Amino acid sequence: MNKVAPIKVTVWNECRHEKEDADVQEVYPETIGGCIVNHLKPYGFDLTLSTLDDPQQGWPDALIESTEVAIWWGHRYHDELSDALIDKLQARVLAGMGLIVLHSGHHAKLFKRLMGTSCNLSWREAEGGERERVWCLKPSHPIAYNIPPYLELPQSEMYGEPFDIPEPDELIFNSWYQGGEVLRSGCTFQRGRGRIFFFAPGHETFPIYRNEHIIQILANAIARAHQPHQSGWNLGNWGRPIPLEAGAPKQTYYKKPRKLMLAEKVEKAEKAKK
Amino acid sequence: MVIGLRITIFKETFCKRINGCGQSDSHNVFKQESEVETAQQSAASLVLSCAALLSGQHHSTALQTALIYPALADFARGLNKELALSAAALEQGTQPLGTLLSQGSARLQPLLSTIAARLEQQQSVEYLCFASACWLRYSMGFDGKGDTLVVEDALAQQLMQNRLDRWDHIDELMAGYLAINGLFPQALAVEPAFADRLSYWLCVILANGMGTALQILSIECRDYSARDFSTFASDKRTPA
Repeated sequence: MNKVAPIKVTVWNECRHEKEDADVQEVYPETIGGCIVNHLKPYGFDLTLSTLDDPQQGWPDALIESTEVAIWWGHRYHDELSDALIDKLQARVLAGMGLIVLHSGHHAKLFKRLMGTSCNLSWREAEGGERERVWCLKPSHPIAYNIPPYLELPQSEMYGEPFDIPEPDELIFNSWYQGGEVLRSGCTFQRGRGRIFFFAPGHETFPIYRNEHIIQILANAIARAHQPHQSGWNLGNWGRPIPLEAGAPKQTYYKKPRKLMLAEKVEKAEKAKK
Repeated sequence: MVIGLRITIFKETFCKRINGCGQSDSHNVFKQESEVETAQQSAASLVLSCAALLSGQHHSTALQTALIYPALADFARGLNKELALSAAALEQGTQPLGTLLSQGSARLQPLLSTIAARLEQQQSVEYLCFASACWLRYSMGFDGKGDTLVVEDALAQQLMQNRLDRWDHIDELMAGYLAINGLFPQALAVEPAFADRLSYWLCVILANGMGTALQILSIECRDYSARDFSTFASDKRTPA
């Protein structure tokens, strides 16, 4: 059998907490992105780590083009990302780049752009965290491959409903918190050719990305978000001047570009004067 | 080129077998075949350049560079297939697009002959009709933004006059093009199937602009019967 080329994954990490907060450095001395990359290595992906403080905010054009699946971890500095960069990333998702948005990335500019809603939710950062139970709602889904019926995370940040997102295409995980709240914590969306997965667990001061089941979910999600083909299309407006049915009314007049229309109007007026 | 090489080898073998030398009447037959292919390549370069330029590429861009755009590459592949040209024939075009556009009405003729031949055999002419429509659109003398395009062609004046006089109704505009003497072979101009498909693709180009029209061509004319199992290989990702 032909060897499958490794999926090109870019783990984009805001990576400011790790510079600014001692408690985060303690939990993730290798940074959050570094931890995710290290744990995903055994799965055979072609991994690149980039951060907000890298050139082009971690997204040079060549990397945007070559990335097949992006993992996004951001929190405090979403607004620093340039709108022009978000335009490019959004276009890349529509063209087929998979996107996995983690935890506080629910407020990332890119995610909000792709969802079209506020993506607000309810939240609580309880002292020492609180227990989260992540229920697997679709055990046969590819993202749930090799995952038990539920995961217990002893320390987590509460993210609860109402979560202002569009209706997910698929709801794979649902979280319950010690305080009683619940959240749709693992959701898929498709935008254009791009497959998106939002996954809520992953606070910066709790070692959630060292949990082997969480990493398995990320690996499954990468494989799922990877779009293996280029077929399908992304047409803005599809003008269909000739109908399929013979004899049905068709379009007979076509607008000229505005510049030409105005130029011809002026020319006509000048001729009329003469 | 593979086809060119094959023709040369076959020609030499054939001629030696018949006459014991490399020259005979058959030499002329092969020369004609080769000339036909060259003329078809010239026509294909012309229409691909028109499509590339009208979809926003710069006139100084080389044809082979322009063909990186997927929908244009799809068009080139489809055109190659209908013209029965070798796959690599057009990818060698290093000339800038702007140098490949002159005397289009004459250079288009081999392509039109192929349309007539394929229609006679009831074969598809979608890409060839799109190609013809590309050139008609170029002959209108303006690009997608409304800037002027200089059309160097023996029929340029008549083509422009037709566009100015008959723009307001597509059927009249088409009838005008089909009636221009020397543009389309007489037999082809009165062939309803040709007029129908040429008109269809010109309408699609006028309604959508060239960039989107190329995508529509790709969507509507793709061979969906082909089966591709390669993306369904088992790919479970568990740690090594």
